[in-house]
Formats: sequence, C-alpha cells, structure tokens
Amino acid sequence: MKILISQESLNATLATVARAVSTKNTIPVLSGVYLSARNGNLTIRATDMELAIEAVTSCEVISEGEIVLPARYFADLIRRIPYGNIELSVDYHNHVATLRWGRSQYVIHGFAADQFPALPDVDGASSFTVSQSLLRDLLRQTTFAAGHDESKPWLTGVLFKLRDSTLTGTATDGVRIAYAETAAENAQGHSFSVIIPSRSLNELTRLLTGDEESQVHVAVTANQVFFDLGNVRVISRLLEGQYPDVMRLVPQTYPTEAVLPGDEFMEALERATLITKDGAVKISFQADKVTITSNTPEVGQVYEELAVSSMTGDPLDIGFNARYLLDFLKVLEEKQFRFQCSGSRNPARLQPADSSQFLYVVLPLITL
Amino acid sequence: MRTDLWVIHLDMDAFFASVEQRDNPRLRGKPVIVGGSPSSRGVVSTCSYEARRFGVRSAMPSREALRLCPQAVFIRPNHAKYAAVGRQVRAIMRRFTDVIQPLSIDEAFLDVSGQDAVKVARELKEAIRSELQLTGSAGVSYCKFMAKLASDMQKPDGLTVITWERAQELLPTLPVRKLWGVGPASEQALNALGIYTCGDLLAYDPDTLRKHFGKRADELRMLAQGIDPRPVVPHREAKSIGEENTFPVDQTDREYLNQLLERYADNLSAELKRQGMAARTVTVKIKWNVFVEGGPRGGDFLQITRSQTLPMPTNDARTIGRVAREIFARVEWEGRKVRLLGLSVHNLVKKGELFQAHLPI
Repeated sequence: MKILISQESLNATLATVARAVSTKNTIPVLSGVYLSARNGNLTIRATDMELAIEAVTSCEVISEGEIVLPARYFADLIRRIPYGNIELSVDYHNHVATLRWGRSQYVIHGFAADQFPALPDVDGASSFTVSQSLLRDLLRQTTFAAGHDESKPWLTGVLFKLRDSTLTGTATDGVRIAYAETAAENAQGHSFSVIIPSRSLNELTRLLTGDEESQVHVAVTANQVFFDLGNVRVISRLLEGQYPDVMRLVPQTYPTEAVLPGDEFMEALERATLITKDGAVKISFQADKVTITSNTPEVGQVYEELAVSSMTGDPLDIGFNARYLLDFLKVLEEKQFRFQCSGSRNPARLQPADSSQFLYVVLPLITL
Repeated sequence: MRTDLWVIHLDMDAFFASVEQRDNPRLRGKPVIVGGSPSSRGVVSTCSYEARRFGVRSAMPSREALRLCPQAVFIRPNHAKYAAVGRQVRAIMRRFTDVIQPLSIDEAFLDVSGQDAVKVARELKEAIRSELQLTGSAGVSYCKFMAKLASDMQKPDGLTVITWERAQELLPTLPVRKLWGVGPASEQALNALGIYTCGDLLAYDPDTLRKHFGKRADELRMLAQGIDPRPVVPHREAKSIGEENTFPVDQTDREYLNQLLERYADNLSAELKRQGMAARTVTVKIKWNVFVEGGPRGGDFLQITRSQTLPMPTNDARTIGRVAREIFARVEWEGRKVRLLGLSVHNLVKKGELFQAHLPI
C-alpha cells in the first residue's frame, strides 16, 4: 500500500472516525484505525464492537492495500503535521507504516489488517431515508433524556419506530420522557421498532449536517443499524430488551395550561438554580402569570415572574428539579412553549406552542 | 482511657409481647407469641418470657413454636402500636439526656456523662414502669460494648453494672460470640483456631490472628481486653435500614424464608415509620452455604444482593414484603442452601422532604 494524501483530508477523516476507537484495552487491535486504499479512495474505520464509524476520502493511490495503525499516535501525529501532501507507505513484512512529508520521515508500528473485525452484514436490512437535518433535530430532542442505569440497558438507548412515513424517537430515564417525530421516506413501507444506544446516536448527531438537502439512508437488521451519510457510515449494535410503553403511563388530560416564552423562562431558571439546593424550584401557575420560587435555608430566596401568553385551568403549585426543565428548553427551537399540568403530584407535559412533533413529559418533585 | 460509668444500654423486655400483655389482661402470665400464624407457616417475631420457658425463640417458625408450646396464644403484630409505644419510651429517655443512640425500636444507648449513671438507669426504668407499665433491662458501664453485655445479663427487669474491674474479671472466660460484631460465621472461624473465649483470643499470636482476620483482628483484641472507645452517636442519619439472620442450620424451605422476609418487612416498616421515613429501594441479601477461598479474611461464604427500586418511596410493610418476595422468587438457587437471609431498604426520604417522582418502569 502506498498513497499520497493531503494533511487536511487525512486529519479530517481521522477525526470523524476517532470517537469509535475502543477505549478498553481488551482487544489490542481495536485501539487502532483500519486504513484501506482502493480505487482512488482511502477508507478509514474504527470500532469498539458496539459502534463503528467508517469514512471515505479521495487520495492518490499508488498501490492498493490495508493496514491498522494505533489510533492515538497516528491521529495526534497527523494533527501536528503542516498543511501539504503526506506519503504513506506500508511494509507488509512487519506491518509498519512510513510517513513522509517535507524533509520528515516517521515510522509507526501497526497491526495486520486481517486482525481487524469486518463490518456487520447489511443483508436483509429494512431501509428508509430521512433528511439529515430532520434526523439531527429528532436526535437532539430525544437522546439527552435516555437513562444511564446499566441495570436497565434498554433505557440507555432511544426507541426508534418507523411506521408509514413517520419516524419517531422516544427516550426516558424514568424521570422524564422525550418524544419526537419526523417525516421519513419509506418506499417499501417497512414497520419496526428498535432501541439504539444513546452513545452511538450522540456520535451520529455530531456527524449529521444541518443541510436540508442531504439525506441519510438508514438500514436496520435484527441486531444492527446502519446510517449511510454518503462518505461516512455509522453502524451501531442495537440494544435488546422490551421498551416500556411509556406514553401509556402519562396523564391524558392536563387541566392547567400556560403558554410561556422559552428563552425568558430558561434564563429565569438558570438564575434560580444558582442559589437553589439540588435545583428544586416551585412553579406557580396563576391567572395572569407564572412564578418560579425557591427557598434555600442559609443560601437565599428566588422569585421570578413571567407574563403568560395564555393561561387556562386551575391555579397550581408544582415542584420540579430545574435541570429537567432546562434540558427541554435547551433543545426547544420555537419561541413559545406550552406547559401543561395535571395536578402537583402527576407528570407535566411541555411542547412547542405550535407543534406536536416534539413532546416532553417530566415528573415533579413531591413532598413526602 | 475512660473507666467511669457513663453509658446506659436499655433493652425493653420482650417488647411486642409485653405491650400485648399490658393491653390485654387475659394474656398476662400466659405464653404469648407475636408473629405469623402457625397454620400459614409464619415466623415468631417476639415471645413473652412465659413462652421462652418452653424454648420458643425469635425467628423460629411459628409451627415449631406451637409444637414446643401448644398452649401459646398467637397474636399478629401491630407495628403501628409498637412504634407509638417506642416513641413514648424514647420521650422518657430524653428527660435524662439528649445523647441517645437508638439501635432499634426497643433498644438504645444513652450517654449520661456527668450524672450518676446507676441512679439515672434506676429512675429511667422506674419511669417506664410507672408511666407505661412496661419493663426494660439496663446495663451501665464505662463503654458501649460492656453496657450492652450488662443489659443482657439479667433479664427481664434487670439493672446490671459492669465496672472496669468487674470487666477484667468477666472477660477471660467470656465466649467470643459475645464480642461486638462476632456472629455465627466469625465465631466458627475463631473456634476453628481453638479460640473460644476472650482469654483464648488474647493468648493467641496477634500476627497469626491478623492473617486470618485482617485489621479486624486488632479490634477484636481491643474488645477482648474490654476496650471500646466508640461514643454514643445520636440522630444517626441512616442511609439504609436492614435486618438479617444467619441460620443455625442452612435453609432450603422457601416458604419459611418468605415468611422471614415478611417479618423483616414488618420490622423495617415499623422502623421507617418510627423515623418518619420512606424508602425507594428494597434489597435482599443471601449468603449461600458455599465457601469461597481468598480475600483478606481467607474466604467467606458466597454472597449475593438483589435490589428493586420503586417509583415512589414507601414504608408500607405489605409493599416492602411483596417486593422482597418478588426479588427472592427471581433468585436462582442452583442447588445451594441459604446460610443467611437479609432485607434492607435504601434511598431513604424523610417526611416533609422533597423527592423526585419516577415513572413505574
């Protein structure tokens, strides 16, 4: 194998896949990145067996071949090489790569390419297509709410459901539920539900563009999901387990409802949490206003008042951990949101004022 | 080291049974067993001294108790009542000192430094007798370990004083089982080394003892010399509350073990209510009759814990008992026998405190 490649594209491609490199030391070859030069392209791949990322960039291929190089040394070195062309050649006798640029020459010891695990098979997958920017919104609105409790592994992922031309995502950690839906192109009319690890989705979100025109092709098999972004592919293991029907557990009616300005509410909450123990705040819904109060002995008191665009139903006092409300407000795109309550001991519902494509349900703080 | 008399251990006598006898004159002088019914394979919670004469003991299957004492009167426990009486006892203690460390609903240490400890113990017992018509046994000593040992020496209605000098007379022949923290497992391990009394323990080579017991060896040697520097710690904010028992004979009877879990649940519920608390997590602990070599103590019996977290905190005995039985039913036995069974509750929330509600998933 011998290629000529620009520092910029090699560095960018390595940065794309680097987050999938295994941080565990159990299988040495997984601490490396797999490089393959074929047909004028360099393909770089990393995996920790749960998540794999593969990226392709064009380069001048002088002779084809493969090698696995230790990700840390290799990526750190490439980042510090000045702009310009790099020659990378591989000696197969001892799996050693030689890098040359300017008047410098480095030798890095690697692994045999055939030690690196092959990508899972995409055969028999159900596939659909969704816009990159819409998928990115859906992921931003749901992934953060997934759990971290490894004793309930299925809750550490996002439930993806495809039916007709609608893709939905649901995530919960038992305290809040985030639900979002978006349009998908489902030509073959597939229906399925799968649970995708939130870590894989966080990496995917980072790689999706905000570009309306770009598409991502998604293929799902019995235990893997493939996201094809064009020159980047993200492949993730699916989580096993029975995802609970969480929407069945939340109230159907919400007698108290206010429409509030998202930014102002978020700023007020952020101020309030500065002098609040464990983020505990009381939200009071009144005829013409909503107040945020909290009282922390020996620290201080909070009073914030917000005008409401509309308020219906009974006045209500309800406690929340402000952090859970802020998580929603941070991903809210619209100016106004609807805050609906069903009594002070029951889950509350938040959503953009003019959309039902994003829903957030959060459980209150209750006094024993 | 302090050798003046400053600590009292007060242990109410056959507490649940005595409360029942007090409130129902027809039960007085009779063998009374508070606990599960013998027909439902229940377990003895507490029994009156009349029943103890027949060999009935706490944690014994009620059916076994009935066989030993066919004339016994069985009563289902009323934990709300015992908790209320327990609070009355605590209120009386508080007239004498603020430094009170409750060990359970019917047992506590009192730090009465600066007072005449023997006089306080006498007045405390008298107040409990005249106001609540109940008796307790008190131990007065210069350290907690000796005070607890003392209260156990004369029961019921005893008042025993162990001075430093008396302790030195008692210790050489005192069985190691009486040492703080020595349960059946440690007792067996000590016996295996030929150590039966505190005298044996002190005569044993300290380095070899350390090889077997790690740093606990030095604590044991201190206790065996009658040295226990621990203070009385009031208002301990518990992170968990639990109860466990090691069985004299390894158990395989699931129904008996289920009944024992129910009894633990009753006690934990009463303790939670007494402290004005509720818990979200229920944990069952099992030690199997399988010994695993290794570790600082040279090995221990294989132990597992299994937990379940509830959406809402609870202090309800039925809920805790039901969850405990559900957890226990899911445990794989793989042909083993149960050497120890324990139940504890964690994630405690105090009355009036805020807690985060959770979805029931």
